[in-house]
Amino acid sequence: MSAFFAERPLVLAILVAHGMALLLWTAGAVLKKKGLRVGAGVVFGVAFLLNTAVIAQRWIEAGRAPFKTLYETLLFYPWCVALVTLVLLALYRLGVLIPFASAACAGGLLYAASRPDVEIVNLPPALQSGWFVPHVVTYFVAYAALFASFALSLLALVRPAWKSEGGEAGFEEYAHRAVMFGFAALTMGLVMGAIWGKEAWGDYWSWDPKENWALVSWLAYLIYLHLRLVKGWRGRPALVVCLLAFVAVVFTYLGMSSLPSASDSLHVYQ
Amino acid sequence: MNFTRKSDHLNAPGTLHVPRLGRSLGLAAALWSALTVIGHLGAGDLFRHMSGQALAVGAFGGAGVFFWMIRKGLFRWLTSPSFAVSAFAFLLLAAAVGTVVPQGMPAEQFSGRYGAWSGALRWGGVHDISHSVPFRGFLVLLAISLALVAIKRKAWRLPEWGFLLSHAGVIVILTGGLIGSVFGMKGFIDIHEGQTVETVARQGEARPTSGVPLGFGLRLDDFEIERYPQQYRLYVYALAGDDARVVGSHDVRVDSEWRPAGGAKEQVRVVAVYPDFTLRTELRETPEGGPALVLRLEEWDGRTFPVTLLAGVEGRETLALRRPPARIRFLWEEDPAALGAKPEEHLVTFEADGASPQETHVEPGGSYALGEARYQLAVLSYFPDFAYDSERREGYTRSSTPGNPALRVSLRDSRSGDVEERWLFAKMPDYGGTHGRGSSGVKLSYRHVPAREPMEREIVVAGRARQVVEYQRAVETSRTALPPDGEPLAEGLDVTVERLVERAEELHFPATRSDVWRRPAVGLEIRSARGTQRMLLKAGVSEAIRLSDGKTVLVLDRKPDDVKAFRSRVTVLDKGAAARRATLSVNHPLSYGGYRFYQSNYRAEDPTYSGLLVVKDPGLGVVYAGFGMICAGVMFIFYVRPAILRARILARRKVLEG
Repeated sequence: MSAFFAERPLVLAILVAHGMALLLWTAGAVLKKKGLRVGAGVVFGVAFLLNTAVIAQRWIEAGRAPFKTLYETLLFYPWCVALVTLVLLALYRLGVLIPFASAACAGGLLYAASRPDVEIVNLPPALQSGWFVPHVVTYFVAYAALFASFALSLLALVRPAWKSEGGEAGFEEYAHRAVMFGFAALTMGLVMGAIWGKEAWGDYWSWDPKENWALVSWLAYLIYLHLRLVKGWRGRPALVVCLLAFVAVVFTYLGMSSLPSASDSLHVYQ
Repeated sequence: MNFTRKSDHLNAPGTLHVPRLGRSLGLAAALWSALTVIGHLGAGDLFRHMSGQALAVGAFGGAGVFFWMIRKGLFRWLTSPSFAVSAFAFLLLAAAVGTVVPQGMPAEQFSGRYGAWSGALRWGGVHDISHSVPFRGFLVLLAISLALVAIKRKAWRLPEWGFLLSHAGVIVILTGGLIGSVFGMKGFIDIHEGQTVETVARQGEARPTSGVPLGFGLRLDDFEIERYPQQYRLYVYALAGDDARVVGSHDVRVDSEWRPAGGAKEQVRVVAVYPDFTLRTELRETPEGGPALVLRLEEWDGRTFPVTLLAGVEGRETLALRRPPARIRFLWEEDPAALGAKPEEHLVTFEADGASPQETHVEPGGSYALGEARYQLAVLSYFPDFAYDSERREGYTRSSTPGNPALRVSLRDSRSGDVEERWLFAKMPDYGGTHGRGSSGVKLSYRHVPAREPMEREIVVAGRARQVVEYQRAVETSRTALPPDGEPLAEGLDVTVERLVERAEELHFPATRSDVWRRPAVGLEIRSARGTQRMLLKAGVSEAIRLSDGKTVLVLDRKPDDVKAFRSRVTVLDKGAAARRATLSVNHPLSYGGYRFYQSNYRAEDPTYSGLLVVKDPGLGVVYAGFGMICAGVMFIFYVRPAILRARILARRKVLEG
């Protein structure tokens, strides 16, 4: 891994920045120092900018969108998580998301560093489509928003009484807003995938394991959304379902390749 | 109908009084089981193929159930969020199970895999879950439920548009899919360049026999497979047993960056790239070198090339010219006058125990006293081009030119009186030692100096004297000073003097013949704690360099030249005329006459073949409309509806305040 970081010092820099953001925010929370938490936010922003540079660099180096391999998406996902976190920071001042986001980003980057691509992988004909970038970006933004909903659901379960500064909403409400955005993006990613599938292979849906798991995660959030309408299931039970739904997302992204049926999939990352 | 609405909720449409969720899930499970049983009672085909009759039966049945439900109150269940949650939960489980249990596996293979369980799993439809009756049934039920909910919620009112769009979108998509599977078809065309097809084989049927007429012809004019450009890279492999894993891949370009070499301690960098590797020879003046003469020869077509003669280096002293026939010889010290014709020479080296070797000129037929006259050597016969006749078991000569000179000799020891006969071979000087050392303990070896035939014309460059001496049949005819550089060496020859160097060495340098990647090689620097080493790495696995850890290997190899694109140029022939020309490729299908043609296959071993998927899907527009509805609906529910409700509350407040 040290060889990887020697070759890609920018990735190491992002990792260090996320580690610093995590430490600064935790220290700020423990010592009750607002300055430290603001500092954490700044470092987090720097990490996002560095991540942008890494993706741009990879895009230029590859001569195509860098979303082909697991390694490439593991560099892109932290960028999406940071982006969504910064947006939530701007909209609702949810600084409490910084340690969660930093930890997730660092995890993703470490995973990337443990299995880097040895070289630029050629884009097969099916991926040479105008749908490639919007489909993947929409999905990863959705995954990032759903990560935020996961973190906020956890917080809602631990601190149900917390209210935002204006007193308008608690973690459960923010978690729900994150799900709404994430689910809307998930739906569009799914629809784009179906249209692309039709253009490329003549089928909207081919019961490919990745497609199935995308459906599973979509249905899981659909269950969450409808469960909130069932009497007595809003609150803790719905939040638990929200947590489980994100597990399905993670499995769709990372775990599904370990399934026996993955060898037939057209979606498996190399 | 028994539901109430919480008026103050912005995001949720309201909490409904419904059957408890646990009971709802139980009902759904019972329904799933019931549908499984129904499937086995023969209704399976109904759902599996979704034929026209099935549609009709389904519609009538659905309507019947609908009225029955309203009466029985099941309507309340089907329109409740609990039902939605239960239905989603079962569809989710089915989709997940479909990725764990292999789908569409042949029965024998399936039972081989699951043994005793396979019967139960197959009965439950788990082996092909998306075609199972309960799965399809739940989709239909979901569609019915959505329609009922829309009625119940009076979904045509503005704030409910999002609900209407998204939920109706699901029905529209399912309907579009149904239209596609009932009225559409899917088939395959195998076609070769120049061929025209007018029918398409339905998928799942034997291709050559049955075919559905397209109503027009499709001709493949041209097919091409484009590959990614060939690229050589420096690969780092980690060896583990018989396994080699790529752990690094570096650009083949000269750069100053040191790169890690897998787990090895060394670092590598590329210092030279030779796309078309060759060893170039260069003459360098060095104090260790010897005399060299560089001449430039002109070919009949005007091209010139340099030739370097090295004095005192065997085989490099002379240059034979064919037209006109002549020989150029480069000497340094020797007197060119001694270079006349000379007959061949036979030299025998005599070596007795302890004494120093003694070389003697011999002639066939002659007799010589050796070893202080103790031995008498007689040369019995000479075979200029020795061969052995294994039938007659004797030696003979193939020709009179000295291709394999051999001598038959006898050696007489005057002290013991023993006479011993031996073969001596010039090309195997040790033969007389290993095979012929008889009891006498004498080693004999033979050296043959070929005759120097007088040339018609010989030009000798005497280096130290800077003279050019010409001979005609070994007779000196002229002697002149060496012409200056760039001038012709002698009259009538297309040879010019380029330069004469007293001390020079020929050195070999890696170089490239051209920019074409033909036989590439790279110059590498490999740095370790012990210092930096320069190495040449040629392309190919057999040329690999193994690093000091013994497990890391550097290989210069080609990156896989993956297929970048494959395209069919086709012409649609409608009523005999060319109606449309198009290029099909993956992601760029052709639509014509209600069909869509997808570039689907190629065969690397058959470059004129193209495989096209043909899909007729009249539900396409409906499905796309459903997609649009769902997306718009979701956005509306999450972002437009709250704004509308908020605005209404504000307006109401204003009215109250005002």
